[in-house]
Amino acid sequence: MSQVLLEPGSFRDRQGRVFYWKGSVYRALSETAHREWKRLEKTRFFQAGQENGTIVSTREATETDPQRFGPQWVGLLEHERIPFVSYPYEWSFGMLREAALLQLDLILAGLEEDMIPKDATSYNVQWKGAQPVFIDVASFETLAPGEPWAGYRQFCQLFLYPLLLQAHRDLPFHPWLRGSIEGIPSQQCYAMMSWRDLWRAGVFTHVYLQARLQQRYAAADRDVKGQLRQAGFHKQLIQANVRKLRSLVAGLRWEPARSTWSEYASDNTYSRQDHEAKAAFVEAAAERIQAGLVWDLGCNTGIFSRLAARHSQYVLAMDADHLSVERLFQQLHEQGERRILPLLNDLADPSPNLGWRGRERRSLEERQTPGLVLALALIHHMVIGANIPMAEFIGWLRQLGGAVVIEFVGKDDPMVQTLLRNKPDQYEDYRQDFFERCLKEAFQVQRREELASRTRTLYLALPR
Amino acid sequence: MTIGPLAYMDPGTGSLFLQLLLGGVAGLLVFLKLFWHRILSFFGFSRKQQDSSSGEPEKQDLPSESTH
Repeated sequence: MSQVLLEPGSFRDRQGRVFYWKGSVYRALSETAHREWKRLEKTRFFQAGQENGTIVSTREATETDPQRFGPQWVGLLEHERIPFVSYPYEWSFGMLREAALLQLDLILAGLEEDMIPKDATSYNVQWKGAQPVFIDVASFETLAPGEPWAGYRQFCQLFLYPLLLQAHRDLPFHPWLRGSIEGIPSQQCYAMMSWRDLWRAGVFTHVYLQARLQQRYAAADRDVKGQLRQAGFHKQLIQANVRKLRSLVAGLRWEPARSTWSEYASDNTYSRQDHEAKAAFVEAAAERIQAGLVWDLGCNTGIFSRLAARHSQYVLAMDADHLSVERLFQQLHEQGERRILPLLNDLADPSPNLGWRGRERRSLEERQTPGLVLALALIHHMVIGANIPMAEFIGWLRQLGGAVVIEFVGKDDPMVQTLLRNKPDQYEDYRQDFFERCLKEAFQVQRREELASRTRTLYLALPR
Repeated sequence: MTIGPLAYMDPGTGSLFLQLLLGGVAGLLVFLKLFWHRILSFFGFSRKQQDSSSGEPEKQDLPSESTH
């Protein structure tokens, strides 16, 4: 019998819990949550979300006894599997904004039928390629008359403030979200804003006023919801707020002119001949491996991710440069791409295990390892740029378990010379013969091709 | 504070009040209703005078900064 695995990150809401069983994703529901589900499944907005793919595909698994997952459960849902789970601190600005817009649109659509999500965390949105999908179906509950929007503060902390800081202050939100699972508190967001920002749309109310009010009522012990209800709070107030928030978020822009990497494709030193040979090598390798999951490390413009996607089920296009990931996302999103997921990850410091017991958000490697890794024009950045020993880098690639397409860039290459320009050359392990020795210890090299420029060599290697 | 049976995260008392100001004109009306006595007392009317002049009974404790 197959083992039931508990999703360790799904504990916060006591009304439901996510399990993995026989390769499928299940959500067990309490009696209350099951009652809400029966309402939700009949709503027009839920059915529309199922059809257009904005709400994760869900059915009630009536053939299985929910008690299999625990005595407290009375209902059971089965969800489609998300190809690769990612977290907001790995998304680009545009990804977080699209996720925020989806969350707000679902709130507006739900309110039309008197339902509202009980939370508003960015972790409730996942991706199918470059298209956002809302996954927490059990979040929707009936909105009682006079109830305010309970998720407003959380929306600000995990969506709005990260976006405002990136758009207005050019402050990357990734270290913040990675460092704080609850997001950015209003007081801290306010502390990072300048007085000029207070004149920008939404900053005075959502940041400054909210920070002041939270301080003022921090120790309040009264029944605020009861007071609001008695004073005549109603649904239209939430609708007005959410509609304004939507246009605020839709209007946010992050437009840095360029970054170290964003012009790489036009600035790099490859000849056209090299590039064509490289593309052919990568495509042939992808065709041969037929991987379920490909990691393209240092994807830059994503050109090789696209080639790999022709012969693979799903591709993670990863880069440490925010602007490169943002541009790739914008292109993929516009093209409706569903099999290439752009993610921000610095391989010298990839996403770690986080949260309660270090199990709530999982490290990059623990989530799902690749069948094929592309490490093109990367090794000099790892060994010389990030000081990671050659043998350790190859060891890490081996540990991922998949095949590898790797490019060695010689010390005489202009790009490597640039890296070494202001650094003492302590990289005695950065030699092609030593690289090949490390590679051959861990992998079987299937193919080797020197590019016409003669400073670069490509390898296809399968794990031993 | 009391929270609903399904609420598992703190919505933030200040954030709940702020939703009145963010709710447009309708929200402002609710806001005025909720904070009426504080607005009056700001202009020199005490709660007692308000009660006797308008004859409107107090429905509940109105929000204030102090936390008893």
